[in-house]
Amino acid sequence: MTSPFRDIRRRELGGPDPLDLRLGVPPQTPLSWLRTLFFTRSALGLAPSLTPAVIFLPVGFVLGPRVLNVLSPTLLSRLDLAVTIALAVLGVLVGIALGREIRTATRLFIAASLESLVTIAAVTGATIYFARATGLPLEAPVAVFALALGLCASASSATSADPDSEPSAEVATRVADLDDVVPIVVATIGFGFLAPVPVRDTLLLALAPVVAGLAVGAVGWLLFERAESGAERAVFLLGALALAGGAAAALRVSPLAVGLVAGLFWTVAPGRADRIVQDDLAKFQHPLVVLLLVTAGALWTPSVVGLWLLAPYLLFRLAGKVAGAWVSSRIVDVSAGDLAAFLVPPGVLAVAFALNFRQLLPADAGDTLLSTVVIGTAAFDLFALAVVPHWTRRPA
Amino acid sequence: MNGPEERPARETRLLVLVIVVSLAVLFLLARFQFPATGLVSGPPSPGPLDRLAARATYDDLAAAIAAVVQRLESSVVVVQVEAAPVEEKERNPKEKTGQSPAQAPPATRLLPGVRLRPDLALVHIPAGMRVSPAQTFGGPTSVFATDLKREIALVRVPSLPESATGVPSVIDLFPGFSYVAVVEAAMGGPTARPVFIGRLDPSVDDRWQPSPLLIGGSPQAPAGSLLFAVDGRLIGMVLPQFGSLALVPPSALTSVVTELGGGAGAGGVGGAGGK
Repeated sequence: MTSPFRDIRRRELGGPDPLDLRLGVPPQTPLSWLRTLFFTRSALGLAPSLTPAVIFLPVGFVLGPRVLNVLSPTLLSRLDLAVTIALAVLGVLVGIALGREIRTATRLFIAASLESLVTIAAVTGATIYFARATGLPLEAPVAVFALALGLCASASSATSADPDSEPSAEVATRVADLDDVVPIVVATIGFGFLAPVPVRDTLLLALAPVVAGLAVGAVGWLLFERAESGAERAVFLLGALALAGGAAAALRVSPLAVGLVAGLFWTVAPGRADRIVQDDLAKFQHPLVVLLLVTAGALWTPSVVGLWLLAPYLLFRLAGKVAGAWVSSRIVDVSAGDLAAFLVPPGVLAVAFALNFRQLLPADAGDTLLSTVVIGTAAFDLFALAVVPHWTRRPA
Repeated sequence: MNGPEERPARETRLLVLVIVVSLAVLFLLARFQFPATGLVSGPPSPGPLDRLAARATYDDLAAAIAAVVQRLESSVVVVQVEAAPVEEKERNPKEKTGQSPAQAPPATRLLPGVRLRPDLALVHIPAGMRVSPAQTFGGPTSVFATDLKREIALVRVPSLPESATGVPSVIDLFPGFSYVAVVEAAMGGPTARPVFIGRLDPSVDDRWQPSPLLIGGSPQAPAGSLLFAVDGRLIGMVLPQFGSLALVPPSALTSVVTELGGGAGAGGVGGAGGK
């Protein structure tokens, strides 16, 4: 007899592991179901999944200047560079994922990019229409703001597929992994061309992250494999990441783009640089995710405009993901419904995009964007608890 | 039931349903206009956990003032004023009563103007001075209206792109006894410094409605400067009154703008810019 309570197994503690499944699991009680829902590895900050946003965004708000002021405005302004480096780290991870998948899974990459583009178009179009129809004071050009919101909306969290899960779950996971490439590229090109600078400087602005990323990639590639110890290698890696973040901050370009190019370089270049980076980043990745979320929560500013913008953001992100999944399911072998459900949680990357655009947009517009994305991310992550299908075992 | 052949059709129906519902809700919500007034007036109500919040340090105050300047870049314009030519001075009754050469205003000054309509800013014009026609800060500026009695002028300023109005949010009932940002003009744009404003006493002045508040103690905010709260909301403009300095609240400023022909309400101070 099947338990009426669904087993939520995405990177969680408390859920049955493969051995449990083989030995047989006791029937779930409401209490154990709640435990699998909330008592997760993600809640402990051990893995970036759908739950950390729900946990750490409110924690950040409580610690922030509006409540306890533990994270004071001064501290937050000093954390800005750390946030930039954290964004570069996320870019590196996306770049490494892209470098590995692009050779073997071009169809997956195309499907993920299409899904992402459909979501960007849906949210951007809806936001432009809504802002113009209602006269929302965005304090930034409407098209730029709407594009930024659309790019934030396109992010999906890469929930990890269980080794025993069915193939559709694995495909959905990889699509979610790869759909972050397009927004980073669009942001790099789009904001380069939308910046109020002469055309010659625009091209430089669009090329700057590529050049900086290649430089960081080359430096790391030359250093990592020549390190004499793990500690020395970690220092080289931290230096390379600090260089990526620092260069992006100095040039006022996207650290995500710089990190993506560097990560791609390390994967494509001969040698083991990508594996070294991935192994060493595993030590810093989760604290950096927590740092990003807590900082975003602390920077959250209650705003009427931000609340109004939730209408196009929530509605058309969902519509965009469903439509994008429908289009992508024609290219990869996965059900559109399952794919759409897996793509619902935005995860940390949506918040990362918002923090990145906050650095580029005028102050008020950046705060409004972050406010909308933070609330939207928490709402979608909670919504995902209900709609994301549980992993089922691969048929024998 | 729900066989493999039925699933794509069901998913297509689901897709159409989601899109139709989203569009319907969007069109419905888009029929409402974003409220233009009544969003921000009045002092901010203290949050339930405010007592738990740690007190700000000087570094925090400096960061807050820097943030204020960043926020009001689009709300404050720098206007250059210069000594009026003789014929204009003769038309100005204050000049006729006489100022000694030692009291004569400097040849040129930079003063901050606050954007009270998307294309109009209000600036203090000291007696015997006028807006410089050779405007070099933030593009050409022309005078829309001058009010010698109140020593102010409305100047046309370039509109901001698209939906950015640049009109600041306001605090209309500033209680005093608080640190504020005093915003003045500098060569490169507005600048600010923190100042503690203590007692504010109501005054009777038929030039303004509502009446300005006399700033108690030795005033540390010069005439023409703008006072902003540390959260970036406009508190008022400091203007001379009865030989002292008074704080003219935003509602008085905006009613004068309407009186001078700058249009009423919708895009006014504390309106569309309010959050």
